[in-house]
Amino acid sequence: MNPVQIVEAARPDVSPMHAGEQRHVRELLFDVAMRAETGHKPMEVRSPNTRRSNALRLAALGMLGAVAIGGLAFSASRDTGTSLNQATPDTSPARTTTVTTEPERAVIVEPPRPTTAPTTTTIPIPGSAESPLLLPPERTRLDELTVTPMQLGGWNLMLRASDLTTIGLREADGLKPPAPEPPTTEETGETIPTVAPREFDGFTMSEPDETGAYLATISCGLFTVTEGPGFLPFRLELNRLLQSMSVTNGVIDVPLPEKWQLISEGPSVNEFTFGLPVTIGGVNSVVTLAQFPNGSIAGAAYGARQYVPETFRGEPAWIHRSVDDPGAFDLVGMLGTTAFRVSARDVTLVELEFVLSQLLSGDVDEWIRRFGALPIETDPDIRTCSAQPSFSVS
Amino acid sequence: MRRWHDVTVSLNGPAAARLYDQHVDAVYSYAARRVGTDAAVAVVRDVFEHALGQQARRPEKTSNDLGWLLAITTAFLRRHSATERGRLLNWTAEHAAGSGSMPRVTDPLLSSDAEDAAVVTTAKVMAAVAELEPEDRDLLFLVAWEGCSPTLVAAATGIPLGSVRSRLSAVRKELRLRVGDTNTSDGTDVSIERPTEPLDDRAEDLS
Repeated sequence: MNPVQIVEAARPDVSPMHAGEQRHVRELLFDVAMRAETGHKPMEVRSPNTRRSNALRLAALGMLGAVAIGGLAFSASRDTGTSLNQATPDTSPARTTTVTTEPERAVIVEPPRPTTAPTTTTIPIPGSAESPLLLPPERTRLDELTVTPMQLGGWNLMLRASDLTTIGLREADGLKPPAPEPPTTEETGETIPTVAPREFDGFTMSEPDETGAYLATISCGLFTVTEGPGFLPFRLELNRLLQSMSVTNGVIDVPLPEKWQLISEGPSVNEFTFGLPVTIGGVNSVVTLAQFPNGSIAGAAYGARQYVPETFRGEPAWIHRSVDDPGAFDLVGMLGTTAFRVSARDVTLVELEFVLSQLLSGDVDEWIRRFGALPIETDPDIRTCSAQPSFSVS
Repeated sequence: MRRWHDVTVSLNGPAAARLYDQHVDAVYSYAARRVGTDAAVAVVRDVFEHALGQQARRPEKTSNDLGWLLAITTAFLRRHSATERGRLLNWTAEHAAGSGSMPRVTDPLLSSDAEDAAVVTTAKVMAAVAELEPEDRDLLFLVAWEGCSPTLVAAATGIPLGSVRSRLSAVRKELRLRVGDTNTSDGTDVSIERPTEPLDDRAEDLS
């Protein structure tokens, strides 16, 4: 016998992996799939006695925190351990595909084995230049994951009117738009009554859509004004603003009417959004976090919402509470250099702060590593038209 | 708001689950034979966690799932090299008999003394295996214990396909030198039955 044959003959026989162990590992890897298949409910981290007291709620949330910290510690240990790349025989080429295939995973049900976890965990410091993003812990199931590319040359304004309503303005570069379509007519030839577009100084503002957004097409692009639904078209306060505005060679001059305020302004930037499932007081919910690195409150808040001032993490913020959906809110603010918008329901701001504190700080590269390449901007750079729009607030 | 490039990540669960279900036994067995059953569970977890996380970046040229997973497993086994070395240096019949299997001596004329001698020889060879370069040890175990074909070995180790046989031959020579014992000849003075079927259907007899 040669040595290789002797080694071959000494081959240990091993029994198949114990079924319990195999199932345990499988559940860790495919938590969501397993739950879907078995009908298991999402992880309970709180007392089922919902909203009995804030103390109970926070204590239960603490459990979530412990689990999350364990997950973060475990994750950190995976990252800082022996370099797999060094040992793996070239199984990971530098090229990254555009396929985003991170398995959907749920929050870790039980803490990782202590032998693989470091002894300390660093609370993330979000919004820095080095770490502009907050990322979900590894192995967390995400209900939503999107990246919305910036609009070329876009800019956002957030104004507050003298009646304390908030109004968003956004301009986007582009080509000169086609002429507006004629009013829609029924087959009978009867014209559907609409609010006629209004002419202002250098621009024509369309009627508002159902979300309360107005569109103005100008020489090389467009700008929109939105205040949310429920307002009369061209209401008096808004009309004051529009009448004060003028557009000349693409410059959108915005002299603020008396007692109006410029709350925020900033460029259009990439938007990174994920939905994080949480269980609070026995109730499953999703906290959706949209982040805008190097963005602004104006950009994060833009949309069909009315905001009022709020304080979050000791910093000024703005909150929109839904009239139609009690308990739901959108909170907008800044984390360092990153603007954020959190959408949640039936979550207190204290709880929300705690949830965010459990996230990992990271950057775009880390996002790409975990979730795949960013979408490629396929729209051509159409700013060849001169006199592209830009705001000038005074 | 216009979202013209939503990147919605789907679970990809069925494909991932299939990958796990089809190959978990092979990965576990390979790991368990080398580092023991306790450590093997951790290796399995690490391997599939890594594989699923890296799936998007998996090389297109990777021939098959098993080769790719064995490559990852081999990499993770390095974290347990001390355990493996200890097992090899202290090789006893119990190691191989961990699951009730010893190399079965099929020659009815062999006495218990001969069996003892075979165990001693095996221990010496295993001690020599412990001193091999890690890459050579990977190659040896993939061939001798997992019955991998050259293609699978190449995928799992990164050794060029055309070099697998020559590399194995070199390992054989090195082991002979390290053991320094004429008992390990090229002859067939002791016939030992192979315990199980090879891992890969396409496996060729490389030993």
